[in-house]
Amino acid sequence: MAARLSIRASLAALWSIAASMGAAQAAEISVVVHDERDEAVTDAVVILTPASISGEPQAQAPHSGKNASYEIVQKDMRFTPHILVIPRGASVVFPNRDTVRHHVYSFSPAKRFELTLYGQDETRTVTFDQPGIVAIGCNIHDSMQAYIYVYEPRQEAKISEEGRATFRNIPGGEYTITVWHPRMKPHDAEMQRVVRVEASAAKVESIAIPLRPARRPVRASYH
Amino acid sequence: MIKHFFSRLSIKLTILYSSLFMCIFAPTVLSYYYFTLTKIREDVRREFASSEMVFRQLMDMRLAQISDSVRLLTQDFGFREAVATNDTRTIDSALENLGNRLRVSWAVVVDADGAVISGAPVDDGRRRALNTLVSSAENGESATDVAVLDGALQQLVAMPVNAPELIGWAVFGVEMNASELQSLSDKSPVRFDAVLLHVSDAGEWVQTAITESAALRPDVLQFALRHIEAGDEKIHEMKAPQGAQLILVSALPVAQAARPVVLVLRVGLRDTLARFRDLLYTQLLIVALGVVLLTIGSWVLSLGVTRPLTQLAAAARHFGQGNYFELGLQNRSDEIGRLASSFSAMAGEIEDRTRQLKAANANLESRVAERSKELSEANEKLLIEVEQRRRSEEALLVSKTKAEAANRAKDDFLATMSHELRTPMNGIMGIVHYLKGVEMPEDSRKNLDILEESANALLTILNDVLDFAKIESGKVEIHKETFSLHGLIAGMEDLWRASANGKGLDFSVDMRFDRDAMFVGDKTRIRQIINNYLNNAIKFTQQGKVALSVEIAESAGDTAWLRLCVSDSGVGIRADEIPLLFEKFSQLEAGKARRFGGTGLGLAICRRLATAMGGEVGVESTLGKGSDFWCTLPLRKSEARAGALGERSDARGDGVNSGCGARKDLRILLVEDNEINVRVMRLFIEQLGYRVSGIARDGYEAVTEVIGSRKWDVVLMDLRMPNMDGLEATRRIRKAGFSAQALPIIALTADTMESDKRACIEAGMTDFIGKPVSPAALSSALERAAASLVHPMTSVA
Repeated sequence: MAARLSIRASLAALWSIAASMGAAQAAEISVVVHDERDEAVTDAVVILTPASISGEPQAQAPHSGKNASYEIVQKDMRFTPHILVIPRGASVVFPNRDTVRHHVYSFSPAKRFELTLYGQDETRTVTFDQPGIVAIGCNIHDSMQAYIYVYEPRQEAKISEEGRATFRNIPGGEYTITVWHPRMKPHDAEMQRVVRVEASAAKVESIAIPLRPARRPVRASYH
Repeated sequence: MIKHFFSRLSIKLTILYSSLFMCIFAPTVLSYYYFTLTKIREDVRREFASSEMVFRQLMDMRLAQISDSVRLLTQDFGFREAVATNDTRTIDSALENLGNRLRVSWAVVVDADGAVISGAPVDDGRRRALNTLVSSAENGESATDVAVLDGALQQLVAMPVNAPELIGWAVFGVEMNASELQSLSDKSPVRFDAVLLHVSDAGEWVQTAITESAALRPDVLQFALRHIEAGDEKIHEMKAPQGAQLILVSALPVAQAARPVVLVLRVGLRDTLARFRDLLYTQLLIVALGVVLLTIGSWVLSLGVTRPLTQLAAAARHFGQGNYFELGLQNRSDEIGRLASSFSAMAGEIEDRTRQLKAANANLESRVAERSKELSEANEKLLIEVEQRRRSEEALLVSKTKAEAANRAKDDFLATMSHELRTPMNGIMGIVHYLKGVEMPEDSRKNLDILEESANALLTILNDVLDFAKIESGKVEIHKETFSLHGLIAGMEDLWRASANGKGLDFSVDMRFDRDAMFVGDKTRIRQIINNYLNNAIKFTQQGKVALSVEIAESAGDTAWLRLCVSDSGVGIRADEIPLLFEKFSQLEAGKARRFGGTGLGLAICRRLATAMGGEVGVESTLGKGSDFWCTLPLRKSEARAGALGERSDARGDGVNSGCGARKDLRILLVEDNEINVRVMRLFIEQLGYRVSGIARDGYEAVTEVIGSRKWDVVLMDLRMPNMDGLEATRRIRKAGFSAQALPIIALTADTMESDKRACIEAGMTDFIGKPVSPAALSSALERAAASLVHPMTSVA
């Protein structure tokens, strides 16, 4: 559900860019993300930054956070979704659908916050006004983890599904592709690449990222 | 003295009892001690092993306790926040707080990349231990390690700090408290030394003592290291000069295999077992006490047996001196009592016997005197008898000598007779042979035929009688020579066929054996048997046939059984006469009309010859139908084959005609003393186409003649001559240098015994003609002599 919402948000953003470009003809770029063993990577955050308008932050619409609604649900001792991309200034609600209480927090520099213990069907809202990666945990349940990637409104963001993130109806030109994944090594690093896409063309860009092995679940006895 | 002491029964019994008891008691005690000792050794081992286990469990418990405390700290929200925000002051105070509570040696917090954020100062050793530990932590799990840091064994724990990502590690080092191991060693019945071995920075093994004991001795250290390197983690027993050692090697779990930490526990078995020596001493004491008690007990026991015996001995001594002695033991119910009763009864009986004995003794003396007298008389008689016996033996010896002399006289008589009878026969036969070659009127010829037949019959009878006499006197000689059986039979076949056909009988020979086979035996005797059988068969058969069958009936090893059988269709023999048939002088129809002359010796000779050769004779007969006379003889099979030996000469045998182109110009010297024989020989020789060139009347003349002037080609030499006999003459001639090739000497003799023939050959004679001389035998002998002459004209040097 959240994924669909985020896609819709992206489409809206895209549409606004396309409208502002006027007569520019639509292009398409597919980013194929795989790890060093050539396996498709799901849940990688792919950010597309257009080079031509990189110096004009005022051109973007400050409305984006208003229409969209982002949500990270706590259910079955998990944060869902595990990864969320939101534009700067957007708010995320954290409803608790578990019978136990949770203590949601983040020590990330992009957004430090703490939602002290709250119970079933209660909810809290946090607004993210700085770009960056926010790692979210639960002080009670260490196995609960979630990431919010806060991007600039002029950028486009997608989460790879089965190793692929496709950006449609974009104007031709030069773009910087940024790829991030929570298990990327070295820690907190991003992968960036500059590509050029012609108008009316469909480009496929393959990017390999180094990944740490998936962490085993923390033992239940410590919950 | 000592010998006397040990010969006492009570001492013997005491020793016997004590040693019997000792045999049971001592092994029991000793095996108990041995069992205990083995058990103790096992216990020491077990105790030792459990000490190590306890130590390791202590370590594990400590580690678990520290880990839990540290985990609590790292999950504290405030601590996480402090780490996430690099709040060193807060972290330090938290570490100090927990560190004091856990009595840790040092504690630090490092970030996710290993850089120290806060905590105790970190030197190189700690840094290395820390890095090893954190890098060994798999996937953000907690990690533990054991290392020797700051000269002490330390347990290290690294616990991840998650917020919720891994943001750092809390690392704690706790020194292993030696007091725990020390108290473990103190409380254990097995006091051990504990030492830690670890590899120094220089790569060498370093030992750190944990308990109060000294460091390991070099040999023990080497022993332990050997087992560490081999990876044997268990208890090893080591033979060391200071006594056997138990060494336990236990590698502690470390993060880095290159820097192992090994716990070595050592216990000296001797020291441990020393505490149990008291047990041995106690047991030895028990054994010694037991020996003393047993000896005393045995002594008392043995006295119970020996005292009544001593009394019995005293009683016997008194009794021996003729006094009665009251034992006083008869009332006892045991074996001693029975012995005493028996002894008393025996004493009474002996008393009675003695009395009787005295009476009998008196009687005996008189009887002995009587007997002695009888004995001396018998002895005298015996002496006389012995003397008589000796005399009769002497007489017997004399008569035996006489009998032997008589026997010798008989033999001599026989030999003489043989010669004396043959010589006139020689003359008769010779003249008859000669006359047959002379033309004369028909009736004279018929008379001559009768004369010849009579002479032949007489000769046969003469030969039979002489032959039998020789056989009877045990002079039968059986020869061993290799011969062809086929040749022997074939040589006789024609003569007998002629004889049978002459009487109108069919004659057949059936030979069933390998014709080339050669045998060893006396062919002359075999021929004699066949001749006798055939002679009889033809004589007693009026019509029909006579058949000779010869076969090798049986062959075992190198012995072949020859079976001869002569069948006829003659008158046959009554069953009751058969047993008498092979007896001497037995002729059928004896007393009745003796239709067929003969001595009746033929079959008897056959039987004796066959027996002498190891064979048998027999007959099967049906009256009126005919008889089968058979003879079986064992012959030795020869390796040789016919042809190789030229045995075919038998086939020629007597049937050789005179003058086969042989030389007739031989100069023949006839040596013969008897005028008749000279004449007969001369007639024969001239009839054969030769010429007698000279005559010598005795051996002396012959030698003179040969050695003197004349050259001779052949000498015909009689054996029995006055002055010098033929053998001596021949020896002298040969000695004078006349070889057998240069001058053949042919013996002429009526002595047809084998020994005589051998004597001839030994004397140097080359051939042999039996008397009466037949023209055929003379002819072949002369031909052989002529053929053997190499250089008849060569003079003798």
